[in-house]
Amino acid sequence: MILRVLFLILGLSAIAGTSWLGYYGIGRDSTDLDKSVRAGSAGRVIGTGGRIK
Amino acid sequence: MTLSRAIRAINCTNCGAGLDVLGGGRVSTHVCPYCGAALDAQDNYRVIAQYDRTARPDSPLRLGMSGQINGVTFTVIGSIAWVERYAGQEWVWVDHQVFSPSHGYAWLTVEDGHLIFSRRYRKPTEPDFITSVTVERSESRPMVRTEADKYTYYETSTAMITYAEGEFNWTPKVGDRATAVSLLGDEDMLSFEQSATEREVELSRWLPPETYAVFGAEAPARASRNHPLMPYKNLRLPRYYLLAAALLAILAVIVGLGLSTRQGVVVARLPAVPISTLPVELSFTLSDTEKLTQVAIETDVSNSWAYIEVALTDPDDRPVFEAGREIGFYHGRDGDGAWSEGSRNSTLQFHAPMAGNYLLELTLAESGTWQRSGAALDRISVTVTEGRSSGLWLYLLAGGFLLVPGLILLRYSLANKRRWSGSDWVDEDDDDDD
Repeated sequence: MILRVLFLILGLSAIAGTSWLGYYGIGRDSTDLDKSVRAGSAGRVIGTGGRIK
Repeated sequence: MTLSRAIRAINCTNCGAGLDVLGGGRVSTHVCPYCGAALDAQDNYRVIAQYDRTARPDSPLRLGMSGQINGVTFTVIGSIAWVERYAGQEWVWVDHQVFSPSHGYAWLTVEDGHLIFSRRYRKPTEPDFITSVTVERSESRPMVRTEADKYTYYETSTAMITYAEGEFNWTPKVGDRATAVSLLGDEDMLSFEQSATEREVELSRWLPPETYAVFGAEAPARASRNHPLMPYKNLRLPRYYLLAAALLAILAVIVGLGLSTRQGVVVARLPAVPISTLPVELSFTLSDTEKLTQVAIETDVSNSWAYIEVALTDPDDRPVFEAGREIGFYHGRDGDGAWSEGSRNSTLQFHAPMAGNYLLELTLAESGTWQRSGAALDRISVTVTEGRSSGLWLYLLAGGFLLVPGLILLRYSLANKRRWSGSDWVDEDDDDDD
């Protein structure tokens, strides 16, 4: 009997836990978003007069 | 002549060998295991036939062995080897006639290492009898009902006796043929057997390998993995867990559907604009950083494709992400009818790092058409929604809940398929698969 109640509690807890994840969309961000993006110009390189070479 | 109960042995009237008499008063034939003479037990053991001794079958059971089956002691009194040949294949088995002074005659069959116990079935069946002709004329698997069970057609076999020794309550003749139509029930098999002289209905049941030891015999080194009468080993998982798992799965799906269908709040919408206006920027304000924000792109591609680049910058004008989406939709008609693949829509989801004003930039990187019927991308629309949820994890959890009952069901289905794999009936559905 205890095992049966435990099984039900575990099952309902799992539903509650995944409902929380699902409600906030945790782990559901698109996986192909490139977040390593250049923020803008690096600016002038000091001492080169603006030239790399 | 009827033997006195006191007589336990006779001498073969052909070769003089001593023969044990084990089979009770209804024995009609006694085949001498030493010389092969078939003796008429009802007529002073007169020689009625002479059989070859060289084809003695290989069986763990021997004449005179005794053991208990379902609490009844039976003694092996006779052995008959059978062979069935069909389409170049050959099946052999040995029937041992067994006798109990209180329960009469029965059969122990050794087949592919398995031990099968058969008794005459005397109760009514519906229909009364099934012959191979009935099977040939039937358009679906023939069925037979008894008081206790329902039986479905399994196979028809015509076999020939190749060897006989010991006592029998009938007269087996080497070379004689008999046809049996077998139907399979939940736990046993009903066989309608017909030879040149008699018809009989038998009920057969699989016996565990330990039965060999009960008879003082050694079990064969190997037995085939499958026999249609082998019982299905049911997993002892209480019904409660199966039911509870199914109900939890339903609950998880319901909650998952509730989350999936949450629409969220539309924070920006770009109506269908001509593609010539791209690149285009869309500004919007996000306030919900806890839940998902979704960018939904809709196009009018038709047998064509487009690659859209998307870039998002945050309220501090820093890039949040860049992404690309290839959107392609193809359709047509072929010999199987109309078909389509791909989609005109695409979405991307993210959690906003902070509340504030964001800027979404869309650029058309590439586009093209497929075949002459292709219509190039003409218009595009974008909708940004915040406060969205996802039901995916709950659907996966429902799958997890259903895994155990699903596996049990799959196991039962595979066992049932294997059980029927030896049947000679081919259903039309099976035929289509070939």
